[in-house]
Amino acid sequence: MIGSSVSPGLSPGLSPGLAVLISVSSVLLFLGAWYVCGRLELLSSAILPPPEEIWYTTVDILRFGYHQIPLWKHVGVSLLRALTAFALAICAGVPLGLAMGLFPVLSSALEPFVQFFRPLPKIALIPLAILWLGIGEVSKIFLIFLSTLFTVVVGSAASVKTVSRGKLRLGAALGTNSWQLIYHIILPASLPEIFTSVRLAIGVGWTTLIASEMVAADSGMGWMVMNASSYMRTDLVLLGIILLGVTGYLLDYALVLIERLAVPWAGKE
Amino acid sequence: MVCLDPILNDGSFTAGEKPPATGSLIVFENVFHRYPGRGKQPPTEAVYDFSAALDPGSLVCLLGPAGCGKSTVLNILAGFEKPSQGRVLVDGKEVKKPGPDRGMVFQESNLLPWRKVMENITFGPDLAGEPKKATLKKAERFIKLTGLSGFENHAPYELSGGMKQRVALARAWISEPPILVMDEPFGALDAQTRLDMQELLVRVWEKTGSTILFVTHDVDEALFLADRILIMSPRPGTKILDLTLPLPRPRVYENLVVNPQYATLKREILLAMRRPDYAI
Repeated sequence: MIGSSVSPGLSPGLSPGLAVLISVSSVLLFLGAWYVCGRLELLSSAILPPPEEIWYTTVDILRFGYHQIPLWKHVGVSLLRALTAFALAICAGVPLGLAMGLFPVLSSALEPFVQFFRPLPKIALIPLAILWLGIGEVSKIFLIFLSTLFTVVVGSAASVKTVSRGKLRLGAALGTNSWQLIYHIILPASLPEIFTSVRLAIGVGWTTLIASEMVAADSGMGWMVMNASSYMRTDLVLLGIILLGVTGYLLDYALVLIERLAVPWAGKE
Repeated sequence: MVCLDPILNDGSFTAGEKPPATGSLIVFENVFHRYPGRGKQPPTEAVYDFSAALDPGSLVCLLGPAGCGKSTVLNILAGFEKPSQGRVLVDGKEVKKPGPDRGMVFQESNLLPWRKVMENITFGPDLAGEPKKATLKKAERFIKLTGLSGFENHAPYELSGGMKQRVALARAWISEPPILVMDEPFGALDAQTRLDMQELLVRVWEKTGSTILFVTHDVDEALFLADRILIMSPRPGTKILDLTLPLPRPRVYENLVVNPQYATLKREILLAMRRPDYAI
């Protein structure tokens, strides 16, 4: 029953099968309501096209592409930009964040910059990105990179603080030197938190995709949405939104799977 | 040394006593510890003039109520904290920092969840770069002694609380450090498991000859385990009673509870711990 699953950890919760069934039904119910709205013509299709119209648009776009570019290329181009930026942000952000967590001097030196850039709307940087890096791929990747980087840095720095004092004392009692303590205790103990911050950061970075594809792009899911909106193609806008949402969801799910493999102990201590 | 505090000025009070410095493995020399106050709050006196000398190979329990500073005494011996005054000597050398000569077992098992049970036990020797083969041989011995056979490849989070503490014991013991420091290691276990673990601890101790300082607030636990019990007053903690137990070994808990000596000792300890002039 609904009431039995209110308190996390106290009730046994739903079986995985039932949980999926409920999620699928709720999506179907939503689509059904949307369909009925269209059927009853409650909204004009320029405002909110019914689901079947989006389906026909999808079939059409799959067959002929958008602006002579096949749909998979739009998706692929966006993914390539985003994944490149994410990879760079993780490679730079995790070590930098860990170093900040470990060394207070570095943290104090970099904290003002991190806290300045992290909440900054990255769209504001578009003119500078174009000025410095041109209108090619580099400036687009740079914008996604920036919006991902700072969340990763802050999360990784904070993850160091979550290592329990008991574990640090254990390391000290067993005679670890500083590097052993970092490598054998602090780093693995921080991993679950790092994964959480990477997931958050990728969520933030993905939202910057549209902004980055406003920079003189001629392909990509974000560009498709912006371009279609200028022609009042609400059906295409919605298709783009659905694609962005689903791809973002799949990206996050892929990360969850990697997390399960890499840190199977997360949340079980 | 003159004691100005009236509640501490008593026959059983041992503050200021000069501990014998020879033949003892661990010596606490007039240890004081105060934690600085936050903001305008006055500092907290945690330990007040604690002195004691522990013989090698003995199992000594440090017994006192919650918050009496017994963990602080232990943390000073472990090297996690520095005394405000006084010093602790191990084998004649002053303790400056933690080290592998003093194995630690905490109330939380502090197992590393990314290492399997076996890898947790061999963690110390692995860090020291000892040869794998010899380490595994030593580990096998302690896995047997602690009853962990068959669990070598389990992940720590697959174990019960009692099993986790067995791993923590084996991990602390594998390098056979001369000293083992234990901070209420069985405090979070259920009563039945705690008895099993106490028996296990004595069994392994008798086979290894380590010197153990065991912190507890449980009078029965101290009476079952110890050669000697140091009883601390409530904060600021100081030694109010130093009892050497005449109880013979092996001790069987079921027999111990009907032993008149046991009852007398327990009464003496309870009287010392619950004296009205120590009540706050």
